[in-house]
Amino acid sequence: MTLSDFVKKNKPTLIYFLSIIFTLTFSNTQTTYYLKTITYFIKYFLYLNYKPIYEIVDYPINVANKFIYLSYMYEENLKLKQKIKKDFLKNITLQELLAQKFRQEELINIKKNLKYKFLDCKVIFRDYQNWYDFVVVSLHNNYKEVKEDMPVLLNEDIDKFYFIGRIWSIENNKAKILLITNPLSAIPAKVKNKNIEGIIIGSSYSNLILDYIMPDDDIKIGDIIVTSGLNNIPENVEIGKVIKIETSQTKIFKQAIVKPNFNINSLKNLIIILTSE
Amino acid sequence: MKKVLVNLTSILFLLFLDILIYKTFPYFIRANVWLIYIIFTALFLNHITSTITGFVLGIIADFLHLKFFGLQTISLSTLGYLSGWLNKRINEKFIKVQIIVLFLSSLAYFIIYFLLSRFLNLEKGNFTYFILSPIVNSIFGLFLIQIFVWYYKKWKLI
Repeated sequence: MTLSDFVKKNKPTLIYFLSIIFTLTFSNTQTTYYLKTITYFIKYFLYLNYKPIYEIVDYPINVANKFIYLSYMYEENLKLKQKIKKDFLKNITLQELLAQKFRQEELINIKKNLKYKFLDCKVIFRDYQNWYDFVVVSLHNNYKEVKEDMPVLLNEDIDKFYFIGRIWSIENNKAKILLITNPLSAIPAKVKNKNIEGIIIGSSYSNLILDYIMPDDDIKIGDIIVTSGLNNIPENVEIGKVIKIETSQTKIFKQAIVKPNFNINSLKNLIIILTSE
Repeated sequence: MKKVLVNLTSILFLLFLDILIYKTFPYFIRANVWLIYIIFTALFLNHITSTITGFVLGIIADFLHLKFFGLQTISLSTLGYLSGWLNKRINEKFIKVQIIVLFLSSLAYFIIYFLLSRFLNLEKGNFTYFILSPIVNSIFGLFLIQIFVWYYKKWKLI
Protein backbone atom coordinates (compact mmCIF):
# COMPACT_ATOMS: atom_id res chain seq x y z
CA MET A 1 0.00 0.00 0.00
CA THR A 2 1.46 3.31 -1.09
CA LEU A 3 1.18 6.52 0.91
CA SER A 4 -1.36 8.02 -1.51
CA ASP A 5 -3.55 4.92 -1.16
CA PHE A 6 -3.37 5.16 2.62
CA VAL A 7 -4.27 8.84 2.50
CA LYS A 8 -7.17 8.19 0.12
CA LYS A 9 -8.49 5.39 2.29
CA ASN A 10 -8.15 7.18 5.64
CA LYS A 11 -8.93 10.74 4.54
CA PRO A 12 -11.52 11.51 7.27
CA THR A 13 -9.28 10.08 10.02
CA LEU A 14 -6.31 12.12 8.83
CA ILE A 15 -8.40 15.27 8.62
CA TYR A 16 -9.68 14.58 12.11
CA PHE A 17 -6.21 14.04 13.58
CA LEU A 18 -4.87 17.09 11.77
CA SER A 19 -7.68 19.20 13.18
CA ILE A 20 -7.06 17.80 16.67
CA ILE A 21 -3.32 18.50 16.39
CA PHE A 22 -4.09 22.01 15.12
CA THR A 23 -6.49 22.64 17.98
CA LEU A 24 -4.18 21.21 20.63
CA THR A 25 -1.31 23.33 19.32
CA PHE A 26 -3.25 26.49 19.86
CA SER A 27 -5.40 25.51 22.82
CA ASN A 28 -3.83 26.98 25.90
CA THR A 29 -4.73 29.84 28.19
CA GLN A 30 -2.32 32.22 26.45
CA THR A 31 -3.94 31.61 23.05
CA THR A 32 -7.38 31.96 24.63
CA TYR A 33 -6.27 35.29 26.07
CA TYR A 34 -5.04 36.52 22.67
CA LEU A 35 -8.04 35.08 20.88
CA LYS A 36 -10.40 36.75 23.31
CA THR A 37 -9.04 40.10 22.15
CA ILE A 38 -9.55 39.05 18.54
CA THR A 39 -13.02 37.74 19.40
CA TYR A 40 -13.99 41.06 20.95
CA PHE A 41 -12.62 42.83 17.92
CA ILE A 42 -14.53 40.56 15.53
CA LYS A 43 -17.68 40.70 17.67
CA TYR A 44 -17.55 44.49 17.51
CA PHE A 45 -17.75 44.32 13.71
CA LEU A 46 -20.08 41.35 13.77
CA TYR A 47 -22.40 43.29 15.99
CA LEU A 48 -23.31 45.46 12.99
CA ASN A 49 -24.42 42.29 11.22
CA TYR A 50 -26.03 40.97 14.36
CA LYS A 51 -28.01 44.13 14.97
CA PRO A 52 -30.86 43.46 12.49
CA ILE A 53 -30.97 39.84 13.71
CA TYR A 54 -31.21 41.05 17.28
CA GLU A 55 -33.94 43.48 16.29
CA ILE A 56 -35.90 40.77 14.48
CA VAL A 57 -35.46 38.41 17.41
CA ASP A 58 -36.10 41.04 20.06
CA TYR A 59 -39.30 42.45 18.61
CA PRO A 60 -41.60 39.43 19.08
CA ILE A 61 -39.93 38.69 22.43
CA ASN A 62 -40.56 42.25 23.60
CA VAL A 63 -44.16 42.11 22.40
CA ALA A 64 -44.68 38.76 24.18
CA ASN A 65 -43.04 40.14 27.32
CA LYS A 66 -45.31 43.15 27.22
CA PHE A 67 -48.36 40.88 27.09
CA ILE A 68 -47.01 38.84 29.98
CA TYR A 69 -46.32 42.01 31.98
CA LEU A 70 -49.79 43.23 31.04
CA SER A 71 -51.37 40.27 32.81
CA TYR A 72 -49.13 40.90 35.84
CA MET A 73 -50.04 44.56 35.73
CA TYR A 74 -53.73 43.71 35.53
CA GLU A 75 -53.46 41.58 38.68
CA GLU A 76 -51.37 44.24 40.40
CA ASN A 77 -53.87 46.88 39.36
CA LEU A 78 -56.75 44.90 40.88
CA LYS A 79 -54.82 44.47 44.12
CA LEU A 80 -53.94 48.17 44.19
CA LYS A 81 -57.55 49.16 43.53
CA GLN A 82 -58.67 47.04 46.46
CA LYS A 83 -55.94 48.56 48.60
CA ILE A 84 -56.95 52.07 47.54
CA LYS A 85 -60.58 51.27 48.39
CA LYS A 86 -59.58 50.02 51.84
CA ASP A 87 -57.25 52.97 52.40
CA PHE A 88 -59.92 55.38 51.23
CA LEU A 89 -62.43 54.01 53.75
CA LYS A 90 -59.75 53.98 56.43
CA ASN A 91 -58.88 57.57 55.56
CA ILE A 92 -62.52 58.66 55.81
CA THR A 93 -62.84 56.95 59.21
CA LEU A 94 -59.64 58.55 60.45
CA GLN A 95 -60.70 61.96 59.16
CA GLU A 96 -64.02 61.55 60.92
CA LEU A 97 -62.28 60.56 64.16
CA LEU A 98 -59.90 63.48 63.80
CA ALA A 99 -62.80 65.87 63.21
CA GLN A 100 -64.55 64.46 66.28
CA LYS A 101 -61.41 64.95 68.34
CA PHE A 102 -61.08 68.57 67.17
CA ARG A 103 -64.75 69.12 67.84
CA GLN A 104 -64.39 67.73 71.37
CA GLU A 105 -61.42 70.02 72.01
CA GLU A 106 -63.42 72.89 70.59
CA LEU A 107 -66.39 72.02 72.83
CA ILE A 108 -64.16 72.04 75.92
CA ASN A 109 -63.07 75.58 75.03
CA ILE A 110 -66.64 76.60 74.25
CA LYS A 111 -67.72 75.35 77.65
CA LYS A 112 -65.27 77.79 79.21
CA ASN A 113 -66.68 80.75 77.22
CA LEU A 114 -70.36 79.95 77.05
CA LYS A 115 -72.28 80.46 80.27
CA TYR A 116 -75.15 78.15 79.29
CA LYS A 117 -75.54 74.43 79.45
CA PHE A 118 -75.53 73.17 75.89
CA LEU A 119 -75.65 70.08 73.75
CA ASP A 120 -73.57 69.44 70.67
CA CYS A 121 -75.35 68.19 67.55
CA LYS A 122 -74.58 67.51 63.95
CA VAL A 123 -76.59 68.34 60.81
CA ILE A 124 -77.54 65.12 59.02
CA PHE A 125 -80.20 66.18 56.57
CA ARG A 126 -81.29 69.27 54.71
CA ASP A 127 -84.10 69.29 52.19
CA TYR A 128 -83.09 71.12 49.04
CA GLN A 129 -86.69 72.24 48.42
CA ASN A 130 -86.83 73.88 51.86
CA TRP A 131 -83.16 74.79 52.02
CA TYR A 132 -83.65 77.95 54.10
CA ASP A 133 -86.48 76.54 56.18
CA PHE A 134 -85.36 73.48 58.13
CA VAL A 135 -82.38 71.29 58.96
CA VAL A 136 -82.41 67.92 60.70
CA VAL A 137 -79.77 67.28 63.32
CA SER A 138 -78.61 64.16 65.06
CA LEU A 139 -78.54 64.39 68.83
CA HIS A 140 -75.97 62.41 70.73
CA ASN A 141 -76.55 60.79 74.09
CA ASN A 142 -78.60 63.02 76.34
CA TYR A 143 -81.20 63.96 73.74
CA LYS A 144 -84.01 63.57 76.30
CA GLU A 145 -83.01 66.93 77.73
CA VAL A 146 -83.81 68.60 74.43
CA LYS A 147 -87.19 70.30 74.27
CA GLU A 148 -89.06 72.19 71.60
CA ASP A 149 -88.31 75.90 71.08
CA MET A 150 -84.80 75.61 72.46
CA PRO A 151 -82.45 78.00 70.71
CA VAL A 152 -79.77 76.66 68.38
CA LEU A 153 -76.44 78.42 67.82
CA LEU A 154 -73.63 78.12 65.39
CA ASN A 155 -70.10 78.66 66.56
CA GLU A 156 -67.47 79.72 64.08
CA ASP A 157 -64.89 80.25 66.77
CA ILE A 158 -64.69 79.38 70.45
CA ASP A 159 -66.05 82.79 71.43
CA LYS A 160 -68.11 83.69 68.36
CA PHE A 161 -71.70 82.44 68.24
CA TYR A 162 -74.55 83.10 65.83
CA PHE A 163 -78.22 82.47 66.34
CA ILE A 164 -79.51 80.19 63.61
CA GLY A 165 -82.91 78.96 64.78
CA ARG A 166 -84.97 76.95 67.24
CA ILE A 167 -85.99 73.34 67.79
CA TRP A 168 -89.20 72.66 65.84
CA SER A 169 -89.78 68.99 66.67
CA ILE A 170 -87.96 66.02 68.21
CA GLU A 171 -88.21 62.42 67.16
CA ASN A 172 -86.02 59.83 68.91
CA ASN A 173 -82.48 61.17 68.68
CA LYS A 174 -83.23 63.48 65.77
CA ALA A 175 -84.46 67.04 65.89
CA LYS A 176 -85.84 69.34 63.25
CA ILE A 177 -84.61 72.90 63.50
CA LEU A 178 -86.63 75.85 62.29
CA LEU A 179 -84.07 78.12 60.71
CA ILE A 180 -84.05 81.84 61.26
CA THR A 181 -84.53 82.28 57.50
CA ASN A 182 -87.87 80.43 57.57
CA PRO A 183 -90.84 82.85 57.17
CA LEU A 184 -92.47 81.09 60.14
CA SER A 185 -89.59 82.20 62.36
CA ALA A 186 -90.01 85.43 64.31
CA ILE A 187 -87.32 86.25 66.85
CA PRO A 188 -87.13 89.32 69.08
CA ALA A 189 -83.93 91.15 68.19
CA LYS A 190 -82.20 94.47 68.82
CA VAL A 191 -79.49 96.62 67.38
CA LYS A 192 -76.22 96.14 69.24
CA ASN A 193 -75.33 98.95 71.62
CA LYS A 194 -78.53 100.84 70.71
CA ASN A 195 -81.94 100.84 72.22
CA ILE A 196 -83.66 99.76 69.04
CA GLU A 197 -85.70 96.60 69.08
CA GLY A 198 -87.68 94.72 66.50
CA ILE A 199 -88.50 91.27 65.24
CA ILE A 200 -86.36 89.27 62.88
CA ILE A 201 -88.49 87.44 60.34
CA GLY A 202 -87.30 84.94 57.77
CA SER A 203 -87.86 85.41 54.07
CA SER A 204 -87.15 81.94 52.60
CA TYR A 205 -83.86 83.13 51.20
CA SER A 206 -80.54 84.07 52.76
CA ASN A 207 -81.49 87.58 53.96
CA LEU A 208 -83.70 88.46 56.94
CA ILE A 209 -86.12 91.22 57.67
CA LEU A 210 -85.98 93.25 60.88
CA ASP A 211 -89.54 94.49 61.21
CA TYR A 212 -91.41 96.66 63.68
CA ILE A 213 -88.73 99.34 63.97
CA MET A 214 -90.14 102.59 65.18
CA PRO A 215 -89.93 105.39 62.57
CA ASP A 216 -87.90 107.53 64.95
CA ASP A 217 -85.30 104.86 65.67
CA ASP A 218 -81.83 105.73 64.45
CA ILE A 219 -80.95 102.54 62.60
CA LYS A 220 -78.14 102.70 60.05
CA ILE A 221 -76.66 100.45 57.40
CA GLY A 222 -73.89 98.36 58.95
CA ASP A 223 -75.52 98.10 62.39
CA ILE A 224 -75.10 94.69 64.03
CA ILE A 225 -78.31 92.87 64.96
CA VAL A 226 -78.28 90.65 68.05
CA THR A 227 -80.87 88.68 70.02
CA SER A 228 -82.73 90.67 72.61
CA GLY A 229 -82.81 87.97 75.33
CA LEU A 230 -86.55 87.40 75.28
CA ASN A 231 -88.40 84.09 74.74
CA ASN A 232 -85.74 81.97 76.49
CA ILE A 233 -83.16 82.99 73.90
CA PRO A 234 -79.73 84.09 75.22
CA GLU A 235 -79.06 87.79 74.94
CA ASN A 236 -76.57 89.45 72.59
CA VAL A 237 -76.09 86.50 70.30
CA GLU A 238 -75.15 87.89 66.91
CA ILE A 239 -77.48 87.46 63.94
CA GLY A 240 -76.29 89.71 61.12
CA LYS A 241 -75.84 93.25 59.95
CA VAL A 242 -78.16 95.78 58.31
CA ILE A 243 -77.60 96.16 54.59
CA LYS A 244 -80.72 98.12 53.61
CA ILE A 245 -83.38 100.22 55.33
CA GLU A 246 -86.84 100.47 53.85
CA THR A 247 -89.25 103.23 54.83
CA SER A 248 -92.72 103.53 53.41
CA GLN A 249 -95.36 106.17 53.86
CA THR A 250 -98.07 103.52 53.84
CA LYS A 251 -96.44 101.54 56.68
CA ILE A 252 -96.11 102.65 60.26
CA PHE A 253 -92.89 100.79 60.97
CA LYS A 254 -89.52 100.83 59.28
CA GLN A 255 -88.01 97.64 57.92
CA ALA A 256 -84.35 96.72 57.69
CA ILE A 257 -82.85 94.02 55.49
CA VAL A 258 -80.36 92.03 57.54
CA LYS A 259 -77.68 89.86 56.07
CA PRO A 260 -76.65 87.00 58.40
CA ASN A 261 -73.02 87.15 59.50
CA PHE A 262 -72.62 83.42 58.97
CA ASN A 263 -72.89 81.24 55.94
CA ILE A 264 -76.28 79.62 56.24
CA ASN A 265 -75.49 77.25 53.40
CA SER A 266 -72.78 75.45 55.32
CA LEU A 267 -74.16 74.31 58.63
CA LYS A 268 -72.41 71.33 60.16
CA ASN A 269 -71.87 71.34 63.92
CA LEU A 270 -74.46 73.21 65.99
CA ILE A 271 -75.08 73.91 69.66
CA ILE A 272 -78.44 73.57 71.35
CA ILE A 273 -78.76 75.79 74.43
CA LEU A 274 -80.44 73.64 77.10
CA THR A 275 -80.77 76.07 79.97
CA SER A 276 -80.01 79.68 80.45
CA GLU A 277 -77.89 80.57 83.43
CA MET B 1 -19.38 27.21 -5.82
CA LYS B 2 -23.00 26.16 -5.31
CA LYS B 3 -21.95 23.86 -2.48
CA VAL B 4 -19.97 26.62 -0.73
CA LEU B 5 -22.87 29.06 -1.01
CA VAL B 6 -25.41 26.55 0.30
CA ASN B 7 -23.12 25.64 3.22
CA LEU B 8 -22.48 29.30 3.97
CA THR B 9 -26.17 30.19 3.98
CA SER B 10 -26.80 27.17 6.20
CA ILE B 11 -24.17 28.39 8.65
CA LEU B 12 -25.68 31.90 8.61
CA PHE B 13 -29.08 30.38 9.25
CA LEU B 14 -27.57 28.43 12.15
CA LEU B 15 -26.04 31.62 13.51
CA PHE B 16 -29.45 33.27 13.41
CA LEU B 17 -31.05 30.26 15.09
CA ASP B 18 -28.35 30.15 17.74
CA ILE B 19 -29.01 33.78 18.68
CA LEU B 20 -32.77 33.19 18.59
CA ILE B 21 -32.52 30.15 20.85
CA TYR B 22 -30.04 31.89 23.14
CA LYS B 23 -32.39 34.84 23.58
CA THR B 24 -35.67 32.93 23.73
CA PHE B 25 -35.19 29.75 25.73
CA PRO B 26 -33.82 29.19 29.22
CA TYR B 27 -30.40 27.50 29.36
CA PHE B 28 -31.67 24.01 30.22
CA ILE B 29 -33.90 23.65 27.14
CA ARG B 30 -31.59 25.20 24.55
CA ALA B 31 -30.96 23.06 21.49
CA ASN B 32 -27.41 22.88 20.11
CA VAL B 33 -27.95 23.82 16.46
CA TRP B 34 -24.25 23.29 15.55
CA LEU B 35 -24.48 19.68 16.74
CA ILE B 36 -27.68 19.09 14.78
CA TYR B 37 -26.07 20.41 11.58
CA ILE B 38 -23.05 18.13 12.07
CA ILE B 39 -25.36 15.12 12.49
CA PHE B 40 -27.17 16.17 9.33
CA THR B 41 -23.89 16.29 7.35
CA ALA B 42 -22.84 12.94 8.83
CA LEU B 43 -26.11 11.25 7.88
CA PHE B 44 -26.90 12.83 4.53
CA LEU B 45 -23.54 14.03 3.10
CA ASN B 46 -20.28 12.16 3.75
CA HIS B 47 -17.65 11.36 6.36
CA ILE B 48 -15.08 13.96 5.24
CA THR B 49 -17.67 16.76 5.13
CA SER B 50 -18.94 15.89 8.62
CA THR B 51 -15.35 15.94 10.02
CA ILE B 52 -14.51 19.26 8.35
CA THR B 53 -17.91 20.73 9.34
CA GLY B 54 -17.31 19.62 12.92
CA PHE B 55 -13.94 21.34 12.94
CA VAL B 56 -15.18 24.58 11.29
CA LEU B 57 -18.32 24.85 13.37
CA GLY B 58 -16.26 24.05 16.48
CA ILE B 59 -14.00 27.01 15.76
CA ILE B 60 -17.07 29.26 15.16
CA ALA B 61 -18.70 28.06 18.38
CA ASP B 62 -15.42 28.60 20.24
CA PHE B 63 -15.20 32.12 18.90
CA LEU B 64 -18.82 32.86 19.81
CA HIS B 65 -18.71 31.51 23.35
CA LEU B 66 -15.00 31.67 24.15
CA LYS B 67 -14.07 30.02 27.44
CA PHE B 68 -11.04 28.05 26.47
CA PHE B 69 -10.02 27.87 22.82
CA GLY B 70 -10.27 24.29 21.55
CA LEU B 71 -12.95 22.96 23.84
CA GLN B 72 -15.79 23.18 21.33
CA THR B 73 -13.48 22.52 18.39
CA ILE B 74 -12.27 19.20 19.79
CA SER B 75 -15.75 18.18 20.97
CA LEU B 76 -17.49 18.95 17.70
CA SER B 77 -14.63 17.62 15.52
CA THR B 78 -14.71 14.33 17.42
CA LEU B 79 -18.47 14.20 17.11
CA GLY B 80 -18.27 14.94 13.37
CA TYR B 81 -15.63 12.26 12.90
CA LEU B 82 -17.47 9.64 14.98
CA SER B 83 -20.91 10.29 13.53
CA GLY B 84 -19.37 10.27 10.06
CA TRP B 85 -18.85 6.53 10.44
CA LEU B 86 -22.63 6.10 10.37
CA ASN B 87 -22.79 7.45 6.81
CA LYS B 88 -24.12 4.85 4.36
CA ARG B 89 -24.28 2.32 7.20
CA ILE B 90 -27.76 3.16 8.45
CA ASN B 91 -30.98 4.20 6.72
CA GLU B 92 -31.03 7.88 7.56
CA LYS B 93 -34.45 8.45 5.97
CA PHE B 94 -36.27 6.89 8.92
CA ILE B 95 -37.33 9.43 11.49
CA LYS B 96 -36.76 6.97 14.34
CA VAL B 97 -33.17 6.53 13.21
CA GLN B 98 -32.67 10.27 13.09
CA ILE B 99 -34.05 10.67 16.60
CA ILE B 100 -31.88 7.87 18.02
CA VAL B 101 -28.75 9.22 16.29
CA LEU B 102 -29.50 12.72 17.54
CA PHE B 103 -30.06 11.49 21.07
CA LEU B 104 -26.92 9.33 21.17
CA SER B 105 -24.79 12.02 19.48
CA SER B 106 -25.96 14.61 22.00
CA LEU B 107 -25.06 12.27 24.82
CA ALA B 108 -21.67 11.58 23.26
CA TYR B 109 -21.04 15.28 22.70
CA PHE B 110 -21.83 16.11 26.30
CA ILE B 111 -19.73 13.27 27.61
CA ILE B 112 -16.77 14.53 25.54
CA TYR B 113 -17.45 18.12 26.53
CA PHE B 114 -17.84 17.17 30.19
CA LEU B 115 -14.68 15.09 30.25
CA LEU B 116 -12.66 17.77 28.48
CA SER B 117 -13.96 20.45 30.85
CA ARG B 118 -12.95 18.29 33.81
CA PHE B 119 -9.63 17.44 32.25
CA LEU B 120 -8.84 21.08 31.59
CA ASN B 121 -10.36 22.03 34.95
CA LEU B 122 -12.54 24.68 33.33
CA GLU B 123 -16.04 24.41 34.75
CA LYS B 124 -18.15 22.18 36.92
CA GLY B 125 -20.76 20.29 34.90
CA ASN B 126 -24.34 21.48 34.98
CA PHE B 127 -26.29 18.25 35.27
CA THR B 128 -29.71 19.73 34.50
CA TYR B 129 -28.35 20.95 31.22
CA PHE B 130 -26.63 17.62 30.71
CA ILE B 131 -29.81 15.58 31.26
CA LEU B 132 -32.30 17.63 29.27
CA SER B 133 -30.21 18.64 26.28
CA PRO B 134 -30.22 15.28 24.41
CA ILE B 135 -34.04 15.23 24.57
CA VAL B 136 -34.32 18.84 23.42
CA ASN B 137 -31.75 18.23 20.66
CA SER B 138 -33.63 15.15 19.46
CA ILE B 139 -36.97 16.97 19.23
CA PHE B 140 -35.66 20.22 17.79
CA GLY B 141 -33.08 18.44 15.59
CA LEU B 142 -35.75 16.33 13.95
CA PHE B 143 -37.44 19.44 12.54
CA LEU B 144 -34.20 21.16 11.69
CA ILE B 145 -32.86 18.14 9.81
CA GLN B 146 -36.04 18.04 7.67
CA ILE B 147 -35.46 21.73 6.80
CA PHE B 148 -31.86 21.03 5.78
CA VAL B 149 -32.88 17.95 3.80
CA TRP B 150 -35.46 20.02 1.93
CA TYR B 151 -32.94 22.82 1.33
CA TYR B 152 -30.13 20.55 0.14
CA LYS B 153 -32.54 18.56 -2.04
CA LYS B 154 -33.71 21.80 -3.61
CA TRP B 155 -30.14 22.57 -4.65
CA LYS B 156 -29.63 18.93 -5.67
CA LEU B 157 -26.79 18.36 -3.22
CA ILE B 158 -28.28 15.18 -1.75
